[in-house]
Amino acid sequence: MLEIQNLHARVEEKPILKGVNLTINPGEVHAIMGPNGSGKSTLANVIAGRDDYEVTEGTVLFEGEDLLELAVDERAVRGLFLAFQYPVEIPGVSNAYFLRSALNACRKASGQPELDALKFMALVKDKAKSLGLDSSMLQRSVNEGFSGGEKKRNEIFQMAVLEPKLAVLDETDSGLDIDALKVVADGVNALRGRDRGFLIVTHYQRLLDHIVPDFVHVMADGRLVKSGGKDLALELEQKGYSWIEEQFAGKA
Amino acid sequence: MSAPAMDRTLINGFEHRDDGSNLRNQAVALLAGQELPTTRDEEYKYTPLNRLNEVAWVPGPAMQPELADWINHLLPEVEQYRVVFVNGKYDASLSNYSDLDIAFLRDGHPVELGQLATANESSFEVAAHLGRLSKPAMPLTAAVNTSAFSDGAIIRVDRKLSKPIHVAHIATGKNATSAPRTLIVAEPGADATVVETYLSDGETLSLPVTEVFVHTNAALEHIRLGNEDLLARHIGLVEVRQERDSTYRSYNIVFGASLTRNDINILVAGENAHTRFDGVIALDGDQHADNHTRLDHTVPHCESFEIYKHLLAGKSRGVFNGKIFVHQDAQKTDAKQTNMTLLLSPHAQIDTKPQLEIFADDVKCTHGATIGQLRKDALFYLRSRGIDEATAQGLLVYAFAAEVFELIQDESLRRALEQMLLAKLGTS
Repeated sequence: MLEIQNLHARVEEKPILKGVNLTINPGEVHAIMGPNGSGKSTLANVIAGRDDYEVTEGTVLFEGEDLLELAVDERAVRGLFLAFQYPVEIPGVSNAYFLRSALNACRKASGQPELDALKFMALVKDKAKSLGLDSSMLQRSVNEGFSGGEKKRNEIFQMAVLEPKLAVLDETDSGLDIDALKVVADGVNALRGRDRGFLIVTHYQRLLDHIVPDFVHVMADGRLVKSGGKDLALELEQKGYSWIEEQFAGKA
Repeated sequence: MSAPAMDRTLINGFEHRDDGSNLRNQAVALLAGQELPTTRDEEYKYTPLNRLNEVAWVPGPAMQPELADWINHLLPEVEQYRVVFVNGKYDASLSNYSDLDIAFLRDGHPVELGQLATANESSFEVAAHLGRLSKPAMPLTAAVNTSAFSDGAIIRVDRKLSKPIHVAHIATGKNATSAPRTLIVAEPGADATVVETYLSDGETLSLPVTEVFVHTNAALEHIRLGNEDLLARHIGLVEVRQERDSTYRSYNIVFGASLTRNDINILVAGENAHTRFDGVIALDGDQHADNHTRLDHTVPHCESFEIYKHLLAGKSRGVFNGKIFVHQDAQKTDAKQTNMTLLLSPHAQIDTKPQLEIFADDVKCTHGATIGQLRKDALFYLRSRGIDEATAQGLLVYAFAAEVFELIQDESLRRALEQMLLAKLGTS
């Protein structure tokens, strides 16, 4: 469903991604690990369409369509979802209004009827509860005054409601205590299925104890330098990233 | 060399009622030798009122409009006590305040004092309140109002009310002037919401004056909604006095009129008083709105919070001047003032002047002004969930202003204001 070939991207004049190749098929969970500054988050944001980054080379196809030609919201309504590393606070817009607008935009794009407020509330209340979110949060402003853990759970909640085809999780585990981590992992695992792909960007292996990936890739200096199964994550945890950096940094 | 002839077109556009009362006498005397302020007057630098002399104003005639023509502008979805004035005259057919006692000014004199006035005392001294705060010598427009007002509502509350009191002023007729006058007295134990709505159907000029007394241990929410025709002019004055342990919340909302100038002056005269005074000013086209606020902290242990938000589209222009005076005795004052502006077009303009003057040494006071466009990270976040760019922008513009309404107690009123804001933004 996602095919990335030789992707290069930069911020201002600084190259960050230097030739990424990655294919994700429906039903697969891929994890990307790597040291800080290796380009993991950049890859997640380039896929989502953040315009701080300029793609200088390469292609990204999503279900055969050129993703890089699509606007941010066009990518989203086609079934792409980014769980933010730093979810944004939006005072004055309630979670309910925001999420219903988003869901209806996605439904409209796929030819489904829009949901009114009542049907929407019926749909989301249980999902909020399963993520340990009090349904009163729906009337509060988006992420405003939320703790770090609440913000991350809200990301997973939005994902559960929007049911994307491909979800990209950008360091969703950062700043979470072990209980919150489990809630987030349960939320993701509940959505795993034959038709859905995941790309999980993380610095630490611990999230992958709970969301067991099919593939693990290591990113260093803007490239995926090593791929393997779930055991690779354990190896990285034991040995750290320095051996990877020694082996691959500056080898361009 | 003789001075140029005095231009009194605006002043002569009102019917002055020299009925011999002290209040009128002062006002009439003051008007005798006065002209409207020009840009040379610092307080009117960006909004010269002398241009109002360019229109041949006439006193608004007696009119009896149909309720059907106005009901959509009278907050129909809000349960309310409604009192309506048309060109400054009370209109019983548009009003509906059944079980509430409201007193009135008729032809400048207090009449129809209801039961509230006689429950605990022999009489309520209107004269002790009317004209006490709005000294005719202050802005000239106050003198015009004091010289010309006819009817008005005297709202006096001494208990908790379950629904808002809505005082609506309709201006109608070509070049019609009106001088609406409202007196609000929140007695100890009061907990009430008063909405003032200003409406018009064309090129009208309103010079309303509202005096507000918030007595000890009273709470008053005061919403002032300028929703006139885009040809209308509105020059308003609100004078407020707060006593000990009182709470006053002011919402100054401007959507309509081609020219608006509002002065809101609050005197905090009793300790442990809380003041919140906010503004939402949404303009487009050639609209111009100038809002001056002034708050005087004269006693210790009070807090005030002010936030004014401007949303300026088209070639509209906003002016904000917010003065906070912390007097020498007002130790332990906690005052915060913020002015935030969204410029939605390259041709829109804001002139903002926050002003803090502090004469006490143990206080916490901040003020600040921001002017900007929409937050890029918020826009990206909304769009990343599938919301298209135009909708996301609209949502953020709306949210920027709607945040101010969040504290409004009556939910249906809050919703009605939010809907009005959405409608206003939809046309910009």
